Order: sequence, then C-alpha cells, then structure tokens
Amino acid sequence: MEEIKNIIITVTNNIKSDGSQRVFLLDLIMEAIHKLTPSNYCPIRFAITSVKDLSLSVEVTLIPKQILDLEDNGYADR
Amino acid sequence: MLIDKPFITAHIIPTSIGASFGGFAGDATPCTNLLAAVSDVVITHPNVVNASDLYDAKDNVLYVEGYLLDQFFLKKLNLRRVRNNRIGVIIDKTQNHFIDHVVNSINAAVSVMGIDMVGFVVTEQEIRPRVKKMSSGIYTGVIDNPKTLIKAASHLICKGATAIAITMNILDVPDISDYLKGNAPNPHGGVEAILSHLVSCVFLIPAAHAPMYTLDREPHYGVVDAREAAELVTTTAIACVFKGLHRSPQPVRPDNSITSDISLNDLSALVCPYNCLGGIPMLSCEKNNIPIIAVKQNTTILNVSPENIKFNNVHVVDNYLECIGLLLAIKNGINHKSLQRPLLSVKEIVDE
Repeated sequence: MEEIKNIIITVTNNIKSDGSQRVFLLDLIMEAIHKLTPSNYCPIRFAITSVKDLSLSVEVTLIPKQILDLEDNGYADR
Repeated sequence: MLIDKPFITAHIIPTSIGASFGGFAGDATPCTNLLAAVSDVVITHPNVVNASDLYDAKDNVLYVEGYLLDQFFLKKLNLRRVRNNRIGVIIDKTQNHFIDHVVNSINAAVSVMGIDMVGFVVTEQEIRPRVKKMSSGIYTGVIDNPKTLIKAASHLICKGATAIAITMNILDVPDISDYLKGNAPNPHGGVEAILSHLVSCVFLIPAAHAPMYTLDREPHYGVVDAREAAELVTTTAIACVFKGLHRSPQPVRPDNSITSDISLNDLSALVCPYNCLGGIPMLSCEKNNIPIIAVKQNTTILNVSPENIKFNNVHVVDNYLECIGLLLAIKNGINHKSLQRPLLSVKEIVDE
C-alpha cells in the first residue's frame, strides 16, 4: 500500500505593483497542490512554511486515496 | 444599538512550529479564555488548550479538530454545537499496564466529568506513528498502519461514538530536552495532527489525539519550562482530550445546515501568532475579508509574517492584552484608528 507523504512545493506569490494580490493566495496554492498531487493521493493539510521574496514554500501532507475510500474498505460511513 | 449577532472569534496556533504561546502544553489557555471573555464564542483547536490531565478552556470555547477546522475555513463544513458527544477511545496496542493507565483515565472521565463513553478499542496491531522533521524545522510525521487506525475508529462509530479520542505510542521522537526547556518546537504534535486529521477526514467526526506514555517517566527531566509543566504531571495525557471532545461541535455540510449552525460568514475575527500566516485559516480570512489579528509576542520558528506575506487584512498587535482592545473595537463598531494618535485627516478620493 502507498505511504502517507509529506512534500514541499514552491508557489510564486502574485503581487501587483501597488501591493495588492492579483489572485488570492489561497486559490493560487490550492490550484498548485491540485496540479502536483498524484492521482492516487489526496492532500489532507498544507501551510506556507517559508517566504523568500515572492517565493513561498508550502508543505503538504498527502494521504493515499486507498485509505480514504470508505466503500472499498467497507468501513462505517456516517 | 448594537446588532444582535453573536461575536465569534477564532484562535489558531498551529502545532509543532515553536509558538511562544500555545507551542507547549495548553499554555495558550489563559489567552484563549481572555478572548472568550469578550466573545460569544471562540473557535479553537486541540493544540491550543490540550494540557494532559488539565483542561481549563471556558464553556464558550469550541474545540474543533484541525482538519474539520480547515474545512470550516474553506466553507465546506459548518459547526453545530452539541450538549455532549459519545466518545469512543482508540488505544494503540502495547503492554497491558500502559493500557490500564488509559482505562483508568477513561473511567475517571466518566466518574468525575460525567462524560458519556461508548467504550474503547485496543488496535489489532501497533499503528506506528513516526515523527519526521521537515527542512523548515517544523515537525510532521507518517503512520505505518493507517488502515488499522481507521478500522478501530469504524468499529467505535458503529457502536455509537460521535467523537473519537486516540492515544498512540509515537515513535522516532528525537531528544526532547530542548523542547522541555522551551527552546524547540513540540516534536510529536505534527504526527498527532495527522492521526486526528485522518480519522476526521474519513468519518467527518470530531477527533483528537494524546501521546501514550510508554516509557518509565523518571524525574531526570527536573523542573521543566513552566509552559510545558502540565505534560510532566500526568500518567496519561488524554484527560484533556476527553474534556475537549465532550462538547466538541459536530461538522455539518452547508446544504444540511440549520440557522443556528456556525459558518465562516459568522466569524468576526481571527487571532494567531505573528509569523505563521500561511495556514488555511489565515489564507481564507484574507480572501474573505475577515480581520486577522497577528500577535507579535506570539512568535514561531516560521517567517510567514505580515511584511513577508503582504496580506491586506492583518492588524498587528504587540500582545494579547492589546488584542482584546482591538477585538472590543471591532465588536463595538469603533474604527481602531480613532483610538490612536496622531489622528490623520481623511483623504479625498480622486478618480485615477
């Protein structure tokens, strides 16, 4: 079975010259995580852990979808 | 006349990042209770108030597991207050006398706190949650047998549990001397978060974790940092989890919500450490124009500060006492700039 993974991705902050955001950072990061997550994994948490100029390091914990699939596992579904 | 809308604040202090308030054993409880004194409701999470055998958060402090909290901030879940939950307990497979300590804690929670316990499950095999340090210096972790954990939770839910308490033997914990002196992040908090996230994610149920103490705790640690003291005066660390989960709100999908449920739209402000603005709650508040109050005295090992992240919606305060003043200003609709000098003239807006 696949293992739980902790990965780091880099996202570039999108700041206008007046200092305001072009795209909300939350949306920018979620889009990047969506693109970079293997199809058999699901992100369970993330956070920016380092900022250097406009470069943001985001740490993401990925869970194998196999664990999350209730029907396949026959576990209780609330 | 003030509007008749509850004043709801959130107090977020992520785990294992060395927060000077909340980075140890329940040491952010007094700050949280101060926020609760000026709020109708404070939404927080286990890391902020868990203190082994001690739990002293006020009744209007809602204890919400971190994954569920993130989903609340992403508008995917609302929160429904409950009179009480029925708690099921998952105990990692280990030697019997350590399990006995946990069972005594469970029975004490029933006899002293009146908590409704469904029962406990000892896992079929060791779950083996392991600590991992990331390059940023924060701690996270992996779990070798996640399916065994899920199976145990499933069993308890089938028996009627509406909240899951977990106590596991955490492996690969580094030397904790610096942590006990108050000079390093909590090494096991990150993997504890993943354990409860996993159960909450799969079953949409409140969950929280406490480390199982399976080593003989000799007094060689001596007098530790005062913020960490609660962890050294206990045989198990799980009583706080029982107390927190006892009235932890239930997650509800927005399309199943009723008017009394709490949604993100009800949140008036978020309070957090100064330099950890990169979590989902803070990112969401920036997007949804909810004031973020960053407390300078609450520092972490991260550098995600208002200056670096360039948010538009952050108020910086020096300490929690100043934070309370700002919250009262927000609550009473008073412009905080009116409370400071010099008072600048309002500018004319001209077309660009």
